[in-house]
Amino acid sequence: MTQVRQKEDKYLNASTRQLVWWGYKKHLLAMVGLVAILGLYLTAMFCEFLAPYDKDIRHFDFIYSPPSKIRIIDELGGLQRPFVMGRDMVMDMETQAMRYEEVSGIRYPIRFLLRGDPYVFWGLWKSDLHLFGVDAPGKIFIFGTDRMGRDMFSRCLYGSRISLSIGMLGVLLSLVLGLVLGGVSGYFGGWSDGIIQRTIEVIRCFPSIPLWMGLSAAMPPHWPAMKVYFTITIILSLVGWTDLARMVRGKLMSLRNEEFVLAARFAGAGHARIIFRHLLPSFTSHIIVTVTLAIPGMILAETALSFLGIGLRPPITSLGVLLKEAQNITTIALYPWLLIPVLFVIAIVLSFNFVGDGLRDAVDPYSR
Amino acid sequence: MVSDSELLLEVTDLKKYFPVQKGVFRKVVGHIKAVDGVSFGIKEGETLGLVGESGCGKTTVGRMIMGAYRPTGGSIWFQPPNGATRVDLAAIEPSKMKPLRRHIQMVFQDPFASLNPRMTVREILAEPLVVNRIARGRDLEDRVRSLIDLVGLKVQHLNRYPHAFSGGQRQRISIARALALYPRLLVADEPTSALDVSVQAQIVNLALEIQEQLGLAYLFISHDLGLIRHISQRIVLMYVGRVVEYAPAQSLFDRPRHPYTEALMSNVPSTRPELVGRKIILKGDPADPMNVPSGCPFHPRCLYAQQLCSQVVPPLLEVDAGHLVACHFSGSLNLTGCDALGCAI
Amino acid sequence: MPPILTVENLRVHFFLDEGVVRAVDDVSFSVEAGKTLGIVGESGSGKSVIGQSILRIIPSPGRIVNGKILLRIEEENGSSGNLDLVPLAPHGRLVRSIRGRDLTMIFQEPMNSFSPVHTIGSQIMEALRIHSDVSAAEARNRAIEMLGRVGIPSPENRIDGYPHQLSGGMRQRAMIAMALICNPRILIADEPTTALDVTIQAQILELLKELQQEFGMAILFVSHNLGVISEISDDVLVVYFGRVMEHAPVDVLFNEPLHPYTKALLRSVPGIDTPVRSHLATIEGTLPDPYADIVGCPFFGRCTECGGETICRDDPYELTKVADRHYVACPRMCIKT
Repeated sequence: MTQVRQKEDKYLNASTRQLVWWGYKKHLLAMVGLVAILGLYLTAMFCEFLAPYDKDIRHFDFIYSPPSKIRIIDELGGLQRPFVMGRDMVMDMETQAMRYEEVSGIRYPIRFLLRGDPYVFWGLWKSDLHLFGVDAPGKIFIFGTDRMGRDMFSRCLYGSRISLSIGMLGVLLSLVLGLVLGGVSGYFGGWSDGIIQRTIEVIRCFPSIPLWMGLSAAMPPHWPAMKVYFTITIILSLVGWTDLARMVRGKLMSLRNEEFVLAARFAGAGHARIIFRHLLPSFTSHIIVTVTLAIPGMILAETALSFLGIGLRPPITSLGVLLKEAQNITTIALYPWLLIPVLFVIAIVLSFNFVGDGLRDAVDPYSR
Repeated sequence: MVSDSELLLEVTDLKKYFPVQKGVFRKVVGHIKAVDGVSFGIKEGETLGLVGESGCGKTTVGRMIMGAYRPTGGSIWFQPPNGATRVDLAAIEPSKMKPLRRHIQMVFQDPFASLNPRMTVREILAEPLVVNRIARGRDLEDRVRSLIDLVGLKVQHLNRYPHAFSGGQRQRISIARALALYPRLLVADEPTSALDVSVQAQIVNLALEIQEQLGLAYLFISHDLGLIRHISQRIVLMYVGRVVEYAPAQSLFDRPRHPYTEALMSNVPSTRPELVGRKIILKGDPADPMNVPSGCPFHPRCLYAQQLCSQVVPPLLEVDAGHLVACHFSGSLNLTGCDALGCAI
Repeated sequence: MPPILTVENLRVHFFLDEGVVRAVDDVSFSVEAGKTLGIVGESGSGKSVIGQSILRIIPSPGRIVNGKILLRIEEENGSSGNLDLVPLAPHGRLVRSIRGRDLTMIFQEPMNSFSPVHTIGSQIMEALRIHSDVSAAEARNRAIEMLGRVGIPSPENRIDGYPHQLSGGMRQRAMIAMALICNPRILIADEPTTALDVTIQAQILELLKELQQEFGMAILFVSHNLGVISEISDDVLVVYFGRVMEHAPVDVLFNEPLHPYTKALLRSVPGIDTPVRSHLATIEGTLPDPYADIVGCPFFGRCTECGGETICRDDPYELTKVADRHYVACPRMCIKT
């Protein structure tokens, strides 16, 4: 009997946020997605440390090298700590293709926390500490190398950082635009609503890809990398805010006449208090869900743009830029590891979708 | 009629028309006459029951008194407690409304929609006091505690959120919130309609106790005739935006003067089947506020209708002490009231 | 006259994450042709679930876990027997042939029972076409006739109209027409007048009584409104916490109730003899925990006639006959008689 009582108390005193979390925990996929996203963002934050090499360093002797095999059993059959074999490039006389063969006898054990390529962590302090690597002249290319001999694993990590950050920044910008414009539209109604809604409709009329392409093409080619980065972000969010604005407007219009809002008005509350204390908290959860589901959209958009060559350009490395290198059949046939960035994109998009779905399910029963 | 100076609230010829807009250019094609000339008064500490079926405009009247809608016509005279002159709430500037709001508060019908689900009970009760800068800190906490106690709930309930409470308990919280500013008039808009029978009784008892303790007046809006009869001193019966009958409760039930009142009373289902007499089954539906019948709006359904009824709108006239009715022929009709019919409501 | 519907020891459980809710907990009753059984209870009593069980439309996660629902079947050759609806598949052919033809239901919100994108006529005729072999023209005529019978003016025009064009009362009449078009033997009415105005409610109740006289069907009327139940029922079932507390003819129940819950309910409604503005008798306390499996009387603890006697709490629930057609589930009461 007391067990039931305790459970009751926990539910009775719980805030909406706690109830949402408990509901969310029940979904396995959502939890998996959450862990994956946290992992991805942590990776993106610490990519200088986690990547064994700098993303632009070229290893001239190892162009188009396939992924290194990590072994734990040596040629004699003994158990060793994980290691990588030495490699040599060999030209096949008949096909003129390059091949990499492992040099027997030379083992490079994988070491942790070693010194390697120097970097400036987040542009703030210098270091050259890497999580793992092998001693020179050994190389560890977990995802192989590209046509300039750059380590794909490191490039994927750096690329994720750019892609993920564009996703977040772009959505943040959309959020601000959407909240403000949708808020004004929904709360005050009248002619401001009319103007804003017609603007939204005009923007939505344009097919997105040609619109992006047009805006991107308008960017001067000589612009520095950072400027391009921010411009692309702004372009994406200028098109993406309309969904959020509409949702905010719809919610506000329906909540405006809710009885608890009326009660606050009758008690003498002003506009500001009603908006921030009563209306916004009621659909914060919906905003979070919409935002969570909008991020993958933004990431996919940037990936698509960069893949087409009209988004980010080298030296900025995003997953889309990486994929641009894999655009021809020769590459895919001979060097399939160059497609690995796709897996990152898929992982990111799926994780966000799982999290968004889980949030939406958890939020709905308790939104009242 | 009672003299003006004794009335806490007096509504005269109140009107509210909602424009109906059609077409791309939102042209006004007609009006929904939700409230079309309603007059009544409430004394200090009195309970006035406002009864009617759906579409009669009773909720709109309540909202106009609260200031949610601007009346299309008429006046709402309110006597502030400090002895100042009466104020017409219908004509007042919105900025002057705030200090007066404290004196008139509302309890809503839906206990699940009237409390913000993201605020604790403490925050909900404190809000009126905070917004009007009446109390802070320790003083605020004391007041909130006395409010929760007034409605029969406990101090530990203050930490909880609305979803943890039943419908009846939420309604108690609504009432406590409405009382926070110690209003002189409480407009209760169908406060028990969404509750179970046994819970309704609890809320009604609470309302009567509070009235005795604090001496406030109620405008009790409901469609439940039995409930209205139990708690009101006077009753206003509305039909399609107009007052049909306005009388002390006893007088209304003993001897109704309007055919609609008679029919309504006989239609209320009773729990004492042996007392049920003849039921007056009306034809058709309640009139549509967009298309109000000419003359007396009730004439298409009235058993006693005559030619005059479809031509001239009957004025609201006093036919007995404090008993007003809007019917051309009320003097000659011999309508049966509750005791004779044994309508058992 | 043997009853056309008999429910025996019905138990319906809802399997939720937090536990099992025993929505209907050992309910038994029977209904005869041409008679009305009123089922009265407050929210959470399980009264609606009883109606849903008979039609096998209980929403998941609810399930019938025990009991029998016996529908009397009379064959053309004169033999008769009882068909138990419980073991049948809820979406199976047999249940679907019975639903709409022998057993129908009308609901509280007529707007939710009608598809907004189909005409009223097509929806009424659908039931007829499913269960009998009439032609489209014949079905249309029958539908117009039925609409007229339920009091809808100019039915030949309304039949091609849409539900939103009718007022609440008219829609309820249309729903009744749809339910009765196949001349069912049993009509289950789940709070059909709760959302209606008093004057319209009186019209609908009058209509139901007339139709019952004419068609001879049995009616199972579920409501929380004691007045409505008292006006329409021949017998009344009082349900609390999924169990039957009292089952009696209507005049007996309202004039000489035996169960403390029935008495408490009747006392909490202000009546003509209740002194005006007096304190109404209330039922203290709240419903028991819905996930708990209560052995004794569920009203124990709120009952004011109970002196806290342990038989009320410990003795297993049992519905006992105290007079002809009068059953009460009250251990103390039973000891007295």
